[in-house]
Amino acid sequence: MSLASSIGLKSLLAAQAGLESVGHNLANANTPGYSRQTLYNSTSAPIRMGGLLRGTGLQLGVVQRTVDTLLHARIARQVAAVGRSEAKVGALSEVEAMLGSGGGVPKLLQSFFSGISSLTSAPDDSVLRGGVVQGTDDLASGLREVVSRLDSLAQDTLGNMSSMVDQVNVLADEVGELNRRIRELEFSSGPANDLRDQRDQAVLELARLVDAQVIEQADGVRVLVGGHQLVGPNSVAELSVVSSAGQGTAQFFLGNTSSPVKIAGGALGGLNAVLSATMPDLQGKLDSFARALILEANRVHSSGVGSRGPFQQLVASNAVADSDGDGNLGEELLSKSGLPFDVVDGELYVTVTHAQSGQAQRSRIAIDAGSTTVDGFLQSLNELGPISAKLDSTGHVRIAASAGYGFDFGLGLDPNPDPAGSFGGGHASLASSANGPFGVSAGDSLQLSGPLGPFTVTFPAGSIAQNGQAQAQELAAVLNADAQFSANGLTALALGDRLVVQTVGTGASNAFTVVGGSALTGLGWTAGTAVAGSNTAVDVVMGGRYLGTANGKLVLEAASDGVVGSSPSLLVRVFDETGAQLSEFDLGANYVPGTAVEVAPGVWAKFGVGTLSATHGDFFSTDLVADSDTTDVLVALGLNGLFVGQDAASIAINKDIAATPDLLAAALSSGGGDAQNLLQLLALDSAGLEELGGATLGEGYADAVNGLGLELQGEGATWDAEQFVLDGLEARRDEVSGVNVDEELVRMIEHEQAFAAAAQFLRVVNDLSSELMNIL
Amino acid sequence: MNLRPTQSAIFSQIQRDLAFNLRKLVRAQEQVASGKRIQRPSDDPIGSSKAMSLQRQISASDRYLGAVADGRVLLDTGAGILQEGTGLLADARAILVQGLNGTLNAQDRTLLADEVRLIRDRLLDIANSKSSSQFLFGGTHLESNPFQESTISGKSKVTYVGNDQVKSLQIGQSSTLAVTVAGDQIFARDERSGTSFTTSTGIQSGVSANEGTGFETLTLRHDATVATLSGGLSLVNGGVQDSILGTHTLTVDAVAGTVRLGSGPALAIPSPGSANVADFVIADEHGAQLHLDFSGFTGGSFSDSVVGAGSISIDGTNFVALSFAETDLQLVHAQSGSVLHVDTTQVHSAGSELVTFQGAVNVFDVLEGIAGDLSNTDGIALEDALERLGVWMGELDRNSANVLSGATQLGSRSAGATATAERLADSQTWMQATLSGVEDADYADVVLQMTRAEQTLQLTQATSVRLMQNSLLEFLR
Repeated sequence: MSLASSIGLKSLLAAQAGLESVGHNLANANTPGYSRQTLYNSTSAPIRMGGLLRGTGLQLGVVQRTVDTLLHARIARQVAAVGRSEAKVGALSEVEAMLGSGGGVPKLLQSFFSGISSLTSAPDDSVLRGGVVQGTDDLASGLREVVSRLDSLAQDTLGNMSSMVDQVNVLADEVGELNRRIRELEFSSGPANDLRDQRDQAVLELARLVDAQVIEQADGVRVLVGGHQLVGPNSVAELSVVSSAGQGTAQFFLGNTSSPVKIAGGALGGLNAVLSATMPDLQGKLDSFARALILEANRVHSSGVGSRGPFQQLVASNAVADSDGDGNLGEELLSKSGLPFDVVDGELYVTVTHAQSGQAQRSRIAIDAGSTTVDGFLQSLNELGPISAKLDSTGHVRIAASAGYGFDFGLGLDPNPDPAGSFGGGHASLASSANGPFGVSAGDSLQLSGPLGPFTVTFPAGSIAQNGQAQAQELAAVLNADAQFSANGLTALALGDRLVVQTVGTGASNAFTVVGGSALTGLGWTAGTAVAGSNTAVDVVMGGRYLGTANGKLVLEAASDGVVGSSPSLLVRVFDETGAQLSEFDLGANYVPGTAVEVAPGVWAKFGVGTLSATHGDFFSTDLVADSDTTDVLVALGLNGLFVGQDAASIAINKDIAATPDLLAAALSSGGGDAQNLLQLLALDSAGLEELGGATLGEGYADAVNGLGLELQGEGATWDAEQFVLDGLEARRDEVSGVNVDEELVRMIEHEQAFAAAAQFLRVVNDLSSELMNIL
Repeated sequence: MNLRPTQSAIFSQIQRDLAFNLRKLVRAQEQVASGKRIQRPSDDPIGSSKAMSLQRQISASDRYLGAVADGRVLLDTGAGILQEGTGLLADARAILVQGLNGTLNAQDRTLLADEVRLIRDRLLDIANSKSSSQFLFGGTHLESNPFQESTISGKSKVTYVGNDQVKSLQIGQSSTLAVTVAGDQIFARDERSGTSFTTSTGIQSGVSANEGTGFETLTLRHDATVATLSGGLSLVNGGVQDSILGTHTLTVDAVAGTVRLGSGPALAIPSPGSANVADFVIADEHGAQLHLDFSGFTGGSFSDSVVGAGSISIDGTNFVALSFAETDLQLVHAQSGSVLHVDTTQVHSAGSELVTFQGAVNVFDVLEGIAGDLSNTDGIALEDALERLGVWMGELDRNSANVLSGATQLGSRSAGATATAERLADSQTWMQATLSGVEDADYADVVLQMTRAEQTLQLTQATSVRLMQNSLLEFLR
């Protein structure tokens, strides 16, 4: 009887336990991360009684949760992937919204060009000028605004990451705590199912934030992040984030490790990807755009002239930096002085104008990127005469013109290319037949005869740097220093590379003769040449606009002797700077003096009545300028630029132009209604720029915006795909570990019936016992 | 396929499905409300890129249309003004033809001269006209009137101080529209082809070439008469009133009783006692005059040589003595810069000679010259004045042709600009349409999507409820 009672009792208890387990499942059907628990009973050990092995009922087994650990690990990995995509999409959407779907800057760029286009029809209109100044300022500040918003977005992202790191640490602590409690509980009791569920859930939440590698071990769960241990069976390390230099990249450190931990997945990984790749990339594209705009607009603007004409003073907006740290700014190479734009080999043309007479003098300054220093450049400017150039205490170049003069870097043609009158002028003029250097050495002499009689000038030792290679300036210096030379009313000039000897006075009464001397052959002169002046000068006048694309020099030489407009044939030859002949024309009887003759594309010259002589080497030369600054030194220093700055955060309108719209350089040469430079600026809208890889300004900016859009679209698709996989895995987990209410209800009935059966059994056993009692 | 569906799995699925359909509905609604298919670049990056490119092109096209409109204003104004100019010059020509009529008297001519001056002043005004603040015919010169008046050698002359630049506006990616013509091409075009001398004094062009624009007036002055006269003849007042220059022959024929100078008309010798015996004027074939005093005439036939000494001036103030043997005398006008070479060997009388630089006289100087000669400011004989007016006719016609061609040029450019504007407007319409196609939501399509999404949502909601309600709990009451 006692066996039956114990069997009955054990059944009751088992059914009760089963019911409790069902109740537990039903209660937690909707608890996230809950895995259904099942009570597994087994039969108890049989005993030998009366020669028989008799069963002893059931014994309570263990409550086991139904879980697939491999699936859990896969879900953890997938959650990290989803977390990453989700965070990336969120951050990228914010960046896209910040860019305003490109509505800001592209429209400002178009307004900028529209303003310039309106100004071309009336360049002196101050309202329209003000409009262009406003449009430029708006564009520059629009760009700065975008960059500043990008900056603050980066700061916000870092803040987000920081709070996520705090969350990670909280979760890691939780996992560590659960590890300990599970170990303690399971030491004494059976499996700690609910705590394990909690730990699994915490691990999943952790995985959403960082791509964690989860290893289930006997003594607990280990969580590894980037190969390093975040949570161990007995320890928890602290994750921290450090951002470098304002914005840019962030680095994660685990515990006390000195080298950063790489986090590529989870929300932190996603945000970090945007922070360290997408945002700097976008910043870089915005900077390229700004630089391209500054460089190209300034290139055009610096060779222009404002409506006030030539400048009295210009101050550079970019400072020269002391790159070798010796405190001496002047000796830095122009190309290595910390200027934001490169200076290359080439030439700079500066035009100095005398305000009252309108006379203009253009000079060429050669710059060599490998050897020209800042001081050297300033020296070349100072040698121009009425110009003074210096470096002020803050490293900015200052150029000023003396009173009554003005300077500019314009492309205007020199209307009087022969001020010395070496081409049929009134002076008695004799020029060397070709360019220097000349085969004249120290000790050679020149014998001339003037109004006071014959005299000799000897070139002393030391006056010629290289014997046989005498420069025109050297010979002219010696001649001008000679007392007899100047007493005879003569002067020597070095024009271009030729030596020219002239009388100071003009008119037919001024004359001199070349008698002889050992220097004659080197200069190409013959003994006995008599040179006389003339009462009428040819007075060359040039005009038009040079249409060529490369800078050059034009040399016109008389090829025969005669009178303009009268002699049967009076040939003049035109050469370029290399000495190649470009054309030849006749100023003889068929030429009406004063008619324009084309000498270069778009350039004409008019010649008045006078005499030309090939024997006297009559010639003149003039520069043809298509690009007055092929070195970009004006842009690099920031002289007469439209914009200042060097990237998207620093771009701004030149404050001098903002204050005085008259300084906006609309013209390429004087003439208040000239708007040629504005047309050049307009051409930038459709020009493919080297700095943007051949794209136009509009295209470059659109690329940046749409590139982001493409990345966002791609990431959105990735998110959808990853989420789909996660949904599938979670469905699978539900299949395995989820609570089906109907199933539990069935089991509940099962246990209920088992309980009822056991109760009935016990009643029967009790009745049997009572019967037995009654017999007694 | 879910082998073991659980309640939570079902609920999650339902939630996902509802969210999915709701998202589609919201998306469709977004498109309807904004009218745009692309709200942000990530909706359709390729489409967004195309849309931005089209917007850039449309914006550029707006700029070009604005420039064409501005340009047309300038072109039309300029063409209109030049049309008025052509009319004025036609009037001037008619007056000139009238003036050439030999039957008019000095007073009538002076009235005509005044009319011509009025026309010149009006023409000068319109040549200096402005549109807003820009001079229409000054190139890019802005500081002062492009055509300036000044007085040189007592004559009013006009010089062009503008430049030869042409104002251009950008009307296409690589095309510009020139909206002005430089004033000197219209009113002062330099088509010089040589010099022409009138023939009143016998001075001619020398050997060397001449240089200058406009015209110069050479003044030949009689300084003294040198002659050894036979037959008791003497000069009157030392010859101050004479106008002969160079060597002339005086022939007295006592038989016929005539006296003639050179090949001029033979006049009867004045008889003693006649009114002009002490101051008898005789002229040669060119009209050069010699005053003779016949009061002491003793008779006889003889031929004497009479020489008129003189000097020449180009500017009216500085005179150079003539030897009448110069073949290439150079005269330079300091103010205007003209250089003339003259041959004096055929000079026969003093007077004023007009030298024009053919093809280089601007229209204002022509009109001033016409007015001057109509009112005879130089005090020349009528035939000489008529000769000069003939010269002016040629220059006037040349200038009228230039003004007309200027008007035609501006007019045809304006027409071209109109055509360009139409073309730009057409292409802009096409671009707008394409942009709309890329960017805008197709309402029919979107509304259809919305309806479908709404239907799907409603169906999902209905079936979800059914699914959620089926549970064993319903039956375990």
